[in-house]
Amino acid sequence: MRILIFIVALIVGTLCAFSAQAHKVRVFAYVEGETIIAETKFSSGRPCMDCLLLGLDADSGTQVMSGRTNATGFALLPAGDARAKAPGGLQLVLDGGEGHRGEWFVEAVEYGGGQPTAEPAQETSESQVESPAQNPAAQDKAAKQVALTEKEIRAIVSEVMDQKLAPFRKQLLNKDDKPDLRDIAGGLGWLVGIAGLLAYARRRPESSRD
Amino acid sequence: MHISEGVLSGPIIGAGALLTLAGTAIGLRSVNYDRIMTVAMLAAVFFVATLVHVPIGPANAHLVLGGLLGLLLGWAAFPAILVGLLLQAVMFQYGGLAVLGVNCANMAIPAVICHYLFRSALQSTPSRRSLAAFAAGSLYILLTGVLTAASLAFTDEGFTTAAKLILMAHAPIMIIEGLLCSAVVSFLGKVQPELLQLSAEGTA
Repeated sequence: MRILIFIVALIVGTLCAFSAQAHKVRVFAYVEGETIIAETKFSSGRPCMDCLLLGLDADSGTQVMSGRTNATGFALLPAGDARAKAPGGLQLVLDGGEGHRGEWFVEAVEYGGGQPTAEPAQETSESQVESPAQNPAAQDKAAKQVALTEKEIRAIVSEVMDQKLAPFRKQLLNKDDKPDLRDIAGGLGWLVGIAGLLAYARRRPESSRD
Repeated sequence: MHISEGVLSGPIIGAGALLTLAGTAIGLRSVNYDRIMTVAMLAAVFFVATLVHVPIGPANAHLVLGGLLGLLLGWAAFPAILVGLLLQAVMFQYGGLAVLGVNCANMAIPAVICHYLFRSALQSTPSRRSLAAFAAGSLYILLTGVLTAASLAFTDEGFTTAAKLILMAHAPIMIIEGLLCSAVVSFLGKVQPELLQLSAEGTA
């Protein structure tokens, strides 16, 4: 019994020396411009290299695109294809080999799919906030500013948001998913507890004393 | 070699569940409940060993120590591995609950096979005991790889591709597991030989 406790302690101690490596593959995807970027990793932090990434139409479940991850675990898929073939959203499925599988759902709005904008596309100008007839100075100022359509405004905002959110996305992907000592201790506790319950349930009844 | 959820078809999952159910029933009947803590500690060894990752190029392999469990527990390896895999699925999301039966069968059946092949050598000379333990540790990984590939045979990967990938990735693990198993059994033979008697009695 003591020897077995020693062996378990040795292995747990080894885990402290090496980081506890995991056995799960993850995929995380976002859109930048016209590209859907998928980042893949095993929970140990190692990239999933040359792994098959499938894109399925969320509505029908049929495969509409596929790609392979590169040496750093990245795969790129065209957002245009996703708009055309997966208007309801794109389900990414990663095959990490040996039965490992990861999934990520890309919302249609991220790659410009889904419902069109509520307002009809029309020429609007963000600079025309005052009637030119009321304020000639504003009219000069307005003439120097750029007229943008609603679609262009959306594209600019989307690009800036992608840039601003990129660091947070990376943080999410790199979030430490390795089992920590608390989880390991919990699992060991469960094992000992289950054994104790079984031993209690199977105990011989105490002989009656005189 | 944890297979994830959503990879296997229904019939394979069902077959794995039935095999695990049968194996666990036999295992629970063969356990000596006076030594239940020993079974629990070996299940803990399995639980912790699969957290130890061995980087081998682009592949992702981990220790299992199922050969050791098979040698020392015999059929009781089934419930020990089942509980270990259940806790890993619940706490770490390794494998999955739906495929628990398949994963358990893939890991426990080779343990029982190694038990029957090598248990008699445990009562032999120390050198034979070490060799048998090495063989058990190595053969266990080979058999587990074959069974995992067989489970994946009906997926897109197919048996041959899956077997090639798994066995290539785990060839070094076979050596490591064999050495570890041999070291542990030799150590037990010197300091607590009665533990090796578990195997001869079939944990009864």
